[in-house]
Amino acid sequence: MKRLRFAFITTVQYSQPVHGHQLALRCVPLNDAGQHLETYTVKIMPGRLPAPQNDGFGNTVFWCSIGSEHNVLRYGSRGIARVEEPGQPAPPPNPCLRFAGFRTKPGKILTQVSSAMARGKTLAALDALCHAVHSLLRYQPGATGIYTTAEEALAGGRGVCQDYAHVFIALARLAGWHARYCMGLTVGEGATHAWAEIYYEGAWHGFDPTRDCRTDASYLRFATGRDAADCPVEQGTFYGLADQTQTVFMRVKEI
Amino acid sequence: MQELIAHQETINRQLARYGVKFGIYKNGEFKERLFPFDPLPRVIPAAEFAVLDKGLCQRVMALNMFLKDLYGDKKIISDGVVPEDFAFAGSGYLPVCEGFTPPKGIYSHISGIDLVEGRDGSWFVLEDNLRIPSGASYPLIARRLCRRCSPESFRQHNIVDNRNYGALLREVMNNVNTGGINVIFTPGRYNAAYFEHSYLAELSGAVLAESGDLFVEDNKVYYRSEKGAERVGAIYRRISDEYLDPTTFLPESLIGIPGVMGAYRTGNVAIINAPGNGAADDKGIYYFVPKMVRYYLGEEPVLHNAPTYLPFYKEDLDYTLANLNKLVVKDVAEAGGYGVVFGRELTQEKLAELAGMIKREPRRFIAQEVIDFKDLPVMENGVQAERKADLRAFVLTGAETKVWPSGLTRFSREPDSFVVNSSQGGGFKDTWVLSD
Repeated sequence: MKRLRFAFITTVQYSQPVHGHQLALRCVPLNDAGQHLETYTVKIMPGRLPAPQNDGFGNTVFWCSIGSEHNVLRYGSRGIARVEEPGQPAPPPNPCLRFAGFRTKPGKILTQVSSAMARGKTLAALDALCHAVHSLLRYQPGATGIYTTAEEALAGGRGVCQDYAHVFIALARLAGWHARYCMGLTVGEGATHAWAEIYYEGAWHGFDPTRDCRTDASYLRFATGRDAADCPVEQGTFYGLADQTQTVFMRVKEI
Repeated sequence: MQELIAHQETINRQLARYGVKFGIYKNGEFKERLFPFDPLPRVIPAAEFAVLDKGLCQRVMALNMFLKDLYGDKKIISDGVVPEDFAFAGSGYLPVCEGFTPPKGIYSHISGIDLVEGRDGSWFVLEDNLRIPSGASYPLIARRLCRRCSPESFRQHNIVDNRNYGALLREVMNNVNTGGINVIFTPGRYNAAYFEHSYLAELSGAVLAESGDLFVEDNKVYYRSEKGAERVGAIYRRISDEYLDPTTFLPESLIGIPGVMGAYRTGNVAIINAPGNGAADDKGIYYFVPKMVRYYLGEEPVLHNAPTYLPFYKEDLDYTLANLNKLVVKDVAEAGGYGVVFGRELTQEKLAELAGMIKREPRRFIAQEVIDFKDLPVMENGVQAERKADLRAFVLTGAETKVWPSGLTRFSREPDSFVVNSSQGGGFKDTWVLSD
């Protein structure tokens, strides 16, 4: 078990005033099996924070409306969370986690890679898969985008944490596992991180194919789903012809 | 009847003036075209309709119970009646509908059930449409025009009045309205079914709204009227789930209502039909509907499915591959008559190709026996001819589930075609339900 002090603040600067902003925010850590929020505050500027909602995966979502004109949008949370080591007893997963999401649909390459891999319903087989995915991709920011699919990332052989997690999840599901994508924060990253969890014998076990390791109590989950399409930190629309510049401040520290 | 035949031209001309059109894709191009009307009605005797009525209500009640179960306790899954592969793998299943029950627990408020009548007079359900089934407006307007052209036809026959559709629709919306006005939400006048959207708004007394007319604030939906912002309590939306809310589904959608899913999950607005209904009406789940009737209602289904095989099951796969040349194969992800292949029309080479596809992706296809359905007479250039036809029955669920005593009869315009979908270029007829 670890106690983590976290802060996560995103600032979006618009080149021109925008209005009629509607957005869904997933900017608070989860409070569920294996992770407990001791204290926290969450803010959005400008505007008012609505009551939290659930997106069906159990993630906390704020559906916010900012009608008035604004040049800057800032949102985020800070607080203290108690995180258990992975493997805590958890309720059965949503059955949809056994099937591909929008960005994890297997194509020819994933199917081929999958059929060449050893099968086995053990955590050791998943460690091997994690290692294999780590070596199939080269870490290169900018080579892929947020809409890149697992199949495309694997075809290009390059990507970032989201792509590593996608490829791992797609292959794990082809091998019959319930797999979920995790978006959150962890010690030692300058931005949000992505990893994967597999449901095995009544508990979730975390794998970080970007770092080629199992996850531990320093990984703080903000959202989980079939893939990144289910877990955006922010998704929304506004009126206005503005360019956006986004800066993210985040910090996670064990206390 | 002769009166009606004599007025075929007049009625079609008036339909064109009213803008009764349908959009079709042909060779990758979108074209709008008129929906040809045939003056000879399909006539359903009272006793026959009573059976349909019972069977359709039963089916829609079971489907509504299935959706509530699927997004809730999932008992039908844990009891092994419906495999996860058919409930959760398709794009119609929306996780955002989990752990939430829509107002009054109703998912499919307006259901369009497609049936065909076999040569022996028994009816088969071909498809359930629980998302945004269109078509009720066509028989409605056609009946209005027919009445005007030939009032005698309607005095001489005991035809059940079908002009209550607007009232039924209003009842359905009022039943789930969370406080505010009723709105019919259209993607706009370039949509193939725009005529229907505007006509149904007129008949039901709902406000016709487009993107930009509605906005969300603090998880409540408002309509921008000339009097200012008016609270919206029920939205009969005529756009598909993926375009409904860019904060939740396709972020690039410009025709949706940003934030509406937040209002919906907060319980501040009813969405008609509920998002996520696609999990219960794809061609794969269709196979399980009679099982749902038995499971949820403990009754034998009154209406039968067309004999269907799921290549997902080994036994069915073997049968399908062995009889491919006489079956009709459907891609479960497609709608509107797209992705439907008749084995008997394929060359050996194409058959082998299809067999390969089925073997590779068994979950993607269903195979059905070709039903020898009854031909209906149509007037083709002044001469009576026989054509294949189906019936889309409209089942409305408000406080009670009711079948609208009419329906959309579509027929194929080609003598040998079995595909009657309006998006494939078919025509339509009025459907008379007799009162005795």
